[in-house]
Amino acid sequence: MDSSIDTSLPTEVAEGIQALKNYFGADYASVLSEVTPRHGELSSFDLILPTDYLDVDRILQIGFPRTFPNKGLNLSLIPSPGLDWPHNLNETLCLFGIGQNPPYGNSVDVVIETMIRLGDLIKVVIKDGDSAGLLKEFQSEITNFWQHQLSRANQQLILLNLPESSCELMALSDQRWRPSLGEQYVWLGRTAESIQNHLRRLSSDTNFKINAPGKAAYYIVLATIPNVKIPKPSNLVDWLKPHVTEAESTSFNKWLKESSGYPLRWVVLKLPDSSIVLQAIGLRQNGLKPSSSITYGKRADKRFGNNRKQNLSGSLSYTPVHVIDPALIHSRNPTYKTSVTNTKKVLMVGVGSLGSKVTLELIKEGVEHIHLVDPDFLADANLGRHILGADDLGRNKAVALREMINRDMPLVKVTINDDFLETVVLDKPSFLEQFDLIVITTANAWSEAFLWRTFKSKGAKWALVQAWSEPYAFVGHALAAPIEQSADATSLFDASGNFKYAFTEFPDHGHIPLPGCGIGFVPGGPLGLSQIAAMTTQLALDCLVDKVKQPTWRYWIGNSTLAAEYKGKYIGPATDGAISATFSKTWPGCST
Amino acid sequence: MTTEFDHLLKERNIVSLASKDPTQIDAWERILIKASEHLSLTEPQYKLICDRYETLQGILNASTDPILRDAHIFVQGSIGLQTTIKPASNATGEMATIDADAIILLPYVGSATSEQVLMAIEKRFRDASRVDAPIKPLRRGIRMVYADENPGFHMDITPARTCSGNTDNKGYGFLDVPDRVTGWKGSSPRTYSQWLESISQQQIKIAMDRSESIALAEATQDPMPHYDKYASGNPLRVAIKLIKRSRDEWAITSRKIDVRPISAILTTLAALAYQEVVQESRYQEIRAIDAIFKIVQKMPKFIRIMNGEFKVLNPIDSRENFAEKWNRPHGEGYAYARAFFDWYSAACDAFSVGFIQADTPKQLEDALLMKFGIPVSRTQDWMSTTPRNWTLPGRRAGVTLNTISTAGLLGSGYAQAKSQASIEPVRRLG
Repeated sequence: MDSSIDTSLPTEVAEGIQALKNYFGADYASVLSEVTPRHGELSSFDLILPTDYLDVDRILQIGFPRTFPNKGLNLSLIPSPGLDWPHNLNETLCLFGIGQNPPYGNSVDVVIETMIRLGDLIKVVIKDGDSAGLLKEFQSEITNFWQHQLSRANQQLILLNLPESSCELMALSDQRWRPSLGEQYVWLGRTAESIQNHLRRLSSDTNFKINAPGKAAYYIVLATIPNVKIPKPSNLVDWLKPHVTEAESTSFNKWLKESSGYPLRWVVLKLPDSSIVLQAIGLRQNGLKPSSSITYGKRADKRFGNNRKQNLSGSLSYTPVHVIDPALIHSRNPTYKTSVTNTKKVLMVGVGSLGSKVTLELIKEGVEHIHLVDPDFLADANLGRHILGADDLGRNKAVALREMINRDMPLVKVTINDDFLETVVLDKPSFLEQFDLIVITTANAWSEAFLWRTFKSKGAKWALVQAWSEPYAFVGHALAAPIEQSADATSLFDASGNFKYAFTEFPDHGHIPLPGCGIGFVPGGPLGLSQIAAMTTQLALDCLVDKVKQPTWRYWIGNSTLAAEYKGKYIGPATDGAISATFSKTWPGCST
Repeated sequence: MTTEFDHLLKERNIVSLASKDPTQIDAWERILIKASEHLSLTEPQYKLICDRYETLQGILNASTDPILRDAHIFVQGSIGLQTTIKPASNATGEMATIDADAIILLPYVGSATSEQVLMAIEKRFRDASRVDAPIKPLRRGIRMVYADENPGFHMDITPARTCSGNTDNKGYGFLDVPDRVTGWKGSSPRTYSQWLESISQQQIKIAMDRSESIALAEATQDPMPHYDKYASGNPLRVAIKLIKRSRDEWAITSRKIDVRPISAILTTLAALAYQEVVQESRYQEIRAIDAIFKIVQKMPKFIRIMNGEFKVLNPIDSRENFAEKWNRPHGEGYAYARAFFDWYSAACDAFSVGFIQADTPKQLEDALLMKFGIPVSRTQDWMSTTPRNWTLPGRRAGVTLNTISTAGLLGSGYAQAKSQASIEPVRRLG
């Protein structure tokens, strides 16, 4: 260890200092000097940097914080280059972007990684350096730079469906009473109808109508990235002009003039990249305080549209923008092609503890058309394993689940029947024909047999998945019959509806009676049900994408040894110590 | 004895600047000037010594001794010439305190002997209750040591009377100073200072504020040179300060403190050299570092050997030979002369150290510490503020802060290390 290093420093810091000196070699003292510790740092250095592309000589202040190396080196440039250097934000040099994550590891790792990343940066900012690389670095974090220059607006935007090209957007303020949000949300849509439909789903008000929505936003698809420096409002058109087509620029300019009566407007920029990165800039008229909220209601255009202003003055702000679009929502789950799953219609028969989970997972996997059938009501004892919550107690499960889906995944088209399936079909015999897949999780022998015997055994085209959990949810089963194939699984069950190939045995078949006629429950915890739901969802999706070619039986076996604790017995296949395993087979004693 | 040194009494080339990297010359000039500033007294230090002059004047004013009537104290030596340097940090004894000299002009000495004058001065300062500094008799005056001040300094006070025929009442012209061995002895300290000042002003054009000068002139004590003027160097002052410090460092490390060249010799030779540099510069403009180098280079040529004796005469009073000790018999003088030339050789090396071609900054840092007593941290500060595209002093041509920084950031460490950016992302989702 270098004798000049303070021995009272923590070992990690001393090693970090040594690594820093070693990195620069024998000549380190020419450019690296220790200074009085700054801002509570344990040790601080000044590093002389090469003259930069602006012909400015800068010092990099390097500090070892008290929590080094868990917290990396503090880095700041003197004089600060402001927006002239990439990665320099809030007077701090942030090297995350270069390596995506902050430098991590032990003291030496952190120092060396920091210096490597600094080297990457120096290569582009050094005098006569890589100017193309400099531009690329700026552009790779352009949104940070823009945001850094703008004050944060008191709104957030939700864009409903991503337009394919530059266009005017309608705006409607979210006027639901949600005080905990603390700021205003505004929906943006290509048409009034798109917002109207969204609101209808959210409010379950099918008569909701928007008369004259405010044309308070504009969506611009950028061909290239505009300058890092945000312009004055009056120069906004010029700032964007080189990065859009002539026609787009003209349209945008026209919108700017026509919408000048709106006290608050937004320009939503889509960056030129294959991924969807949007940046919204708010245009606030002079006199409107940043904290002021403007509500754009159903008739906003009548109120603000004709009050045009001559000059584009005021101020710009940064407004977070979110997108509700399937392409974005499902962009991170590639297991099943949503282009296939989103065309299929699925009927969920029973949305209890198991069916509700399967419903939600199917939606997350891209199913956009789903019908829920369940006559049951949410009870307090359901809360421990159902996806619905206390606000829905006493409500029909299908109704409540539809509301939840409309709120959380608003692009999904959910329809329901709060009745028994048999009743629904009796009312409309062709009801089932619209579906590609029926998933039944009622664990009710009658409704199951109704589907198998009445339809599937007689050539119904839809695929059918029947799933259930054995008592205590140590074992779960799912039986599937493929699309276009006749099948009947009723022979796999005894006259009471119990599966002949069950793997566990419990007193009274695991049924716990409750005071009341026919009232009782089968115990089973949420963890086991989640596993069975996952298995069922996977089988359902396999059916949807036509991967299931024959009657298929999947079963999941959890920690079967626990059955004994509930006076039960595991009688299934040996699991060889597995405590959670899924198996796939053809139906036992297959009777296709 | 003097013949041994004949061949040394000529101009000596320190280094050929024409062959050096122009930016390195700039950088070394900058370091030399900074080093000179570093050696200079700070304003508070200067004021502290100023205050002591005033105190001494007050003591003299209160005297009833007829010899001391209307006694007039004025600054002499380096304080007046603005070439005082701080003591070297490794100095001991009298070298560890700042040398601040004064002349007391006594208009009413009358027929008093040199011994009577020296006694009167010594008695007056011993009697003055306000004086708490120890007083040490010197051959031609007294020394008051203010060792406990910060910085510590000693003031050598020499009484003087005007020579017959000299009617100046401000101490200019020929004076006599009392010598405990030889009686009254000729000297011209004030005119000598005036001469030095006039030479130094041939390059520097910082004029004192006249109104201030007039106001100060009202006092019986001569005005101290204004601080701004004192601190702002010119090539002569820069050179003298560096020369004096190199002398001190050389004397300490070579254990030649007793025979080290006295400041009067160094200052006189430097001033004479500078006078010639000024003449030369009329035909070709030269830069500061040229002037500094030429001053050092020319110094030996103004040492004269006449009748087998070394002469470094007071240029305005040939009665005074500053190299008097070099001519002492029994080898004593030889030691003084030898010391001068040995120091001079070391000084030439010291001034050219900025052009060594080292691989690291350490050699220059060590050299500046050894030869001028500049702390390493100070050298590092100066080097780190060198313009980034200048070749650094003490380094190979083309080695600049930019090249070192670039090499550090993008050199072998950068090329050899494996960046975490190339590590694949964790293959887990959470």
